[in-house]
Formats: sequence, C-alpha cells, structure tokens
Amino acid sequence: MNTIRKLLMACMLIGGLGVASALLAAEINLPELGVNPAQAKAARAQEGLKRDAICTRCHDETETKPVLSIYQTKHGVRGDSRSPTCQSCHGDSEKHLAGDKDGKGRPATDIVFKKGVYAASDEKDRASQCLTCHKGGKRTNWDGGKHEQNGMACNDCHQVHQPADKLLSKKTQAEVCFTCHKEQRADTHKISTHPIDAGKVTCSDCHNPHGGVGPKLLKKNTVNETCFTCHAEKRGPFLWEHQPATEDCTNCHTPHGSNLTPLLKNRPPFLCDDCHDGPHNSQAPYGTGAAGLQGGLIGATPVSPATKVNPNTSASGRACMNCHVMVHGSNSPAGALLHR
Amino acid sequence: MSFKFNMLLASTVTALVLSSGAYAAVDEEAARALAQQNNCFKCHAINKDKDGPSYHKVAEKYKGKPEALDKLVNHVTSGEKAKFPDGHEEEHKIIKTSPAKDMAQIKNLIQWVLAQ
Repeated sequence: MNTIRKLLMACMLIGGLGVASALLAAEINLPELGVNPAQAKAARAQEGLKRDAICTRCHDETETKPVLSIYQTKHGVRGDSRSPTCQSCHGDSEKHLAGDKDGKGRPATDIVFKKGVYAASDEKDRASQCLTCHKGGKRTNWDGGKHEQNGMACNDCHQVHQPADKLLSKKTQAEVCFTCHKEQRADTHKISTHPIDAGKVTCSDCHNPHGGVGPKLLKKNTVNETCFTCHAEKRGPFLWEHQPATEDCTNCHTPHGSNLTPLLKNRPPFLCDDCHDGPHNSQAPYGTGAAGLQGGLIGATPVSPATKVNPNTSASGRACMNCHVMVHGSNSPAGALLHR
Repeated sequence: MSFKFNMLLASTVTALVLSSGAYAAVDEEAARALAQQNNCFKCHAINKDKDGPSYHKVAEKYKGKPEALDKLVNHVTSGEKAKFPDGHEEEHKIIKTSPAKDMAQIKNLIQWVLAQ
C-alpha cells in the first residue's frame, strides 16, 4: 500500500512539474508601447532649438529689443511640431548669415518685419509669412479688406516677440487700435459709451480687423446683426415695428461714444423730428385754461378713443419718449404708436 | 631727509601713480553701455565665442602684456581687418562715442574687456 501511495505521489509531482515548466516556457506578451511621447516632444524641442541656434548664436539676450521672449509665447512652444523656427518667419537668410563680404554692411534677412538697420519688407511679403499658417478662419477675407488695402501687414498691429501681445487681451486691445483710430479713442471718453475703458468690451467684439463681409469690417453681415449679438432684445420680431430701428441701429445711435445717452446722435425731440413732423409740431402757445384746453392738448374734447389727442410738443416737454416708450418696436396690442 | 628731497620724492611718486592709467578704476556700467550702443555684443559675448572671440579669451590672450591697451584701442578705432571663424575677413567696427572720439571712454571700455 505504501509503495503504491509513494508511486502515486511521485507521478503527481512529475505531472505538476511538467505543467509548471510548460507555463514558464510561454512567451510574455505585453503590448508594444511605442515611442515615449514625452521623449518625442523633448527630441522635437531640442531639434527646434538647434535650428534656432543658427540665429540665437548672435541674437541672444544682449539684444536691445527682446527677441528671446518669443519662447514665452505660443510661437515658442518648442515641443509642438507646428511651432515655427526663426527662419520659418524671417526666411533662410543665407546672405545674412554669410556676413559682410563686400564692405557694404551685412545683408538683410530675407524678410525684415520692422524698420531698423534694414528697410522693412513689402507688406505682402510680411503678411504672407504669417498667412502660411494663420490662413482661413477669421482671416479668410484679409485680401481686399480695408486694412490690407491700406498697406498694412500682421506685424503692424501684432507683437510676436513680446511675452504678451497687447491685442490678445480685452483690457489692452483697444489701445493698439486707437494708435490710428484716434477719433474712436476720443469717442470712448464721452459721457455715453460702450465700456471699452473698463476693459469689458473691446474693438474685436464688433469688428474683425482681418476683414469681414459686413460694412466697416464688422463681424456680422450687417450693423444690426452685430448689435444683436449682445442687444438681442432689440432684434424682434415685433408686432409693431419702428422701421428706422429695424433698418439700421445707426440711424439713431453712434456706437463708439456720444454725449447723449444712450449713444444717440441727436436728442429727442430733434431726433424724432428728423422723420416725424406734425401733429405735434404746433407752434401755438399753450397754458392752463388757454381756450379751455388743459396742458396744451390740441384737439376736441371730450376725450374719447375715437378722438386723436395730440399733445403740443411744447406741452409734452419735448419728451416724446414719455409716451412713445417702445421706440425699438412693440408687441403690445396697444397699437402702432409704440406707447407700450 | 631734507624737506626738498621729501617733496621731490612725493611729487615723483604722485606723477608715477597718476600717469599709469592702469591704476584708474574701471567704470563697468559705462563700458557695458558703450559696448551695447556700438553693438559689440552682436559678435562678442563675455564667456562664449560668437563671430568674435569672447572677452574672456581676449583678456587671457593679453594678460600681462603692457602693449595690450594700445593694440586693442587701435583695433577698435582704426577699422583694421578682423578674421571671422569661417575664414572671411571684414573691417572691424569703429567705435563711436559721444562726444566723438572720446579716448577716455574707449580706454575705459578696453580696460573693462581686459578685466574679464
């Protein structure tokens, strides 16, 4: 009995060993991870820096105007394969690298963006450098747009080598536009204005300086559409429309600033008198008890819905809007006179 | 010993001390400003070689040489040829000072370079 048991044990052991060895001999199959993405980025960064070193060998931190601060911007993210190198924008500039061969001074780089030692390049060349990457999107209508037609290029407004481009922040953007658009700067200092100085609204909230389909480089197709992006309650549709408001906000308003709140070109009643004359235009003097009429109300008594009561302009205190409140349009069944 | 002798000794020593410009203190700020103005740092860095040798190298090369000051002043004021690392030669830039040709400023600059 013992022998058989021993034999059985031995067989089990040998069997177990066989299985174990079979398992151990199997290949360990783990999935391939491929290249470490962090290492790939680091390699790209070093490659980019090597290419930049062609230029930063001389143009280093001793430059009077900062160039290395571009590395603090999105253009300087070396780990991103889309990032440009110095030569991507300024051109390969073999002549500049060769030095002063003929005693006439070192030749200019292929593209010169700002006038300094060398004259600036033509605006088309300067713009095309940026547009190689930044084409489309908001710049779809650059060609033929007002700024392009006036001989401007991207770097006339944008600062690429500064750590923060003033144009990219609401608080500082308007200042850049105002360097040329001085009238608008003056307008924002009037009594009634969009909160541009407060940094809440800026030029690019309404305008697309790169070129737009609307008039005056507006973002949207028409003036009204642009205004409605914020002032949606004026859009309508209204039961009773005020036609000049529906047609063009700037019939009455001037968007940059005015001394007449709210951003009006003219004050009532003169504003309204631009289109509306009589029945309020009576020049007749009025007074309490004058000819039995009270408060300058011209028209027959008794007052009834059928009788049109037309307050004399002088009596209404030139305050058309005391009664005609809903100047942008009304949905009230009260009627087309925009009272409610 | 005599008063006359002492005076003679004192005046000689003073003259010697005042004549040797090397003992005058180097105005580092003024030197750097002049270098920046004249774009010296475009080709010369203090510790690394660009198109021109580093100032450290220059100082090493001319250490202890009494003719260093005059040679280098001539180098930056005469427009003599300078050799570039790729072999070609160009006229070295002539330093401009305000007021023009102010030797004291140029000397100060060279002394600062030699002290790097």
